[in-house]
Amino acid sequence: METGDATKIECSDNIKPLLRPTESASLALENHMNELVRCIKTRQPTSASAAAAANSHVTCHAAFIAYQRGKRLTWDTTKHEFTNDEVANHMRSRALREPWRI
Amino acid sequence: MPQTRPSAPAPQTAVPKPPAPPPEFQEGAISTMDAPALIHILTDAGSPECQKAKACQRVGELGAKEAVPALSALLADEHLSVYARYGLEPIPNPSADDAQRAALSKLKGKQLIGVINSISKRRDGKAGPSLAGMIYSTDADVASAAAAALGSLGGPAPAKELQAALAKTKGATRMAVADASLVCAERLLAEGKRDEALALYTSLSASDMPKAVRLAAMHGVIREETSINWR
Repeated sequence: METGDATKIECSDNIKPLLRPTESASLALENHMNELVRCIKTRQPTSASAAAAANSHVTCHAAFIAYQRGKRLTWDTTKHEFTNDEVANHMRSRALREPWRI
Repeated sequence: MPQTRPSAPAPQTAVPKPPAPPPEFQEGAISTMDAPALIHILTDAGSPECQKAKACQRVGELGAKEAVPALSALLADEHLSVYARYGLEPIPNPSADDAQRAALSKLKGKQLIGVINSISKRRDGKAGPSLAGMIYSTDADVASAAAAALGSLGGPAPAKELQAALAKTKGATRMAVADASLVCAERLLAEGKRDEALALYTSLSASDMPKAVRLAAMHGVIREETSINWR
C-alpha cells in the first residue's frame, strides 16, 4: 500500500522480498509533484486522475465480487455492469447506514 | 553480468485461527440458501438478529421480489432497518418501490431518512409528491434528505418543487434545497431539457443565494451558453 506522498510503501512481510523498486521513493515523489504542476500549466489530466482512481477501485471491487461468487465475471466498462451474472450486479452497491447519503 | 533473482519469500509462520464467533453471530448456510428459506429466517421471531441481517443481504443479492413484504416489515426496526434497505435496494421489481413509498408515512427519524435515501438511490419518480411535502418537515434532517432525494429524481416536476422551496425555506434546509437544485439541473441537462436547466441555474444565481451556490450555478450557465463541456 502506498502511503500518499510520504515516500513509503507498506506491505506485508511475505511480499517484501518481491519488491524491486525501479526508482527511489524520493524521485517518485518528485515526478508526482512535477506532473501535477505540468498538468496545471497544460490543462491536462494527471496520470492519477479521478477516472484512474475510480477504475482502480472498480477493478478491486469487481475482483472481490467474483471471488465471492466463485466464478469468472465479465465487466462492461460502458454500462458499468457485469454481463454474465445478475446476482453479481445486485452486489455492486449497498444501502448506506442512515442518515448518510452520497 | 549475471542476473540475480529475487530471493524466495520467507516461509510464513503458522497463524493461529481466530476463535469462532458465538452461535448468535454465525452466518451458517445463509450464503447458499434460496429465497423461501431466507424469508423463513426473516419472518421467524426466534431468528437471531445477525442471521436476519445476513438474510436481508442475501435476498437483495438474489433480487427476490417475494421477499419484499418480509423486508418491508423490518424497515421500522432500529437495528435491522438498514439491512432491510440493503435487501430492497437491488430488487428490480417495482414492488420494492411501492413498499418504500408506503413506509414514508409510517416512519420517522433515522429510519425515515434511510428510506428517503434509498428512494433517492432507486430514483422512484412516483415518490416525488411525498418528498416535496417532506421538505417542509419540522425535522431538519428529514427535510434535507427529502430535498436531496427530490433533486436526484430530476425532471421538470421536481425542479418546480425545488424552485418553490427555495423561496419558502431557510437556514440549513434552504442550503440543502439549493444543493438539490444544482443536482436536479444536472439531471435536466442529461435528459436534454436545457431550457429548464438554465431556468433553474438562473434562480440559483440570485443575489440572496449562498456564494458557493451562486458560483456553481453561474458556472453551469456559462458552461452551457459557451457550449464547453467540462464534465
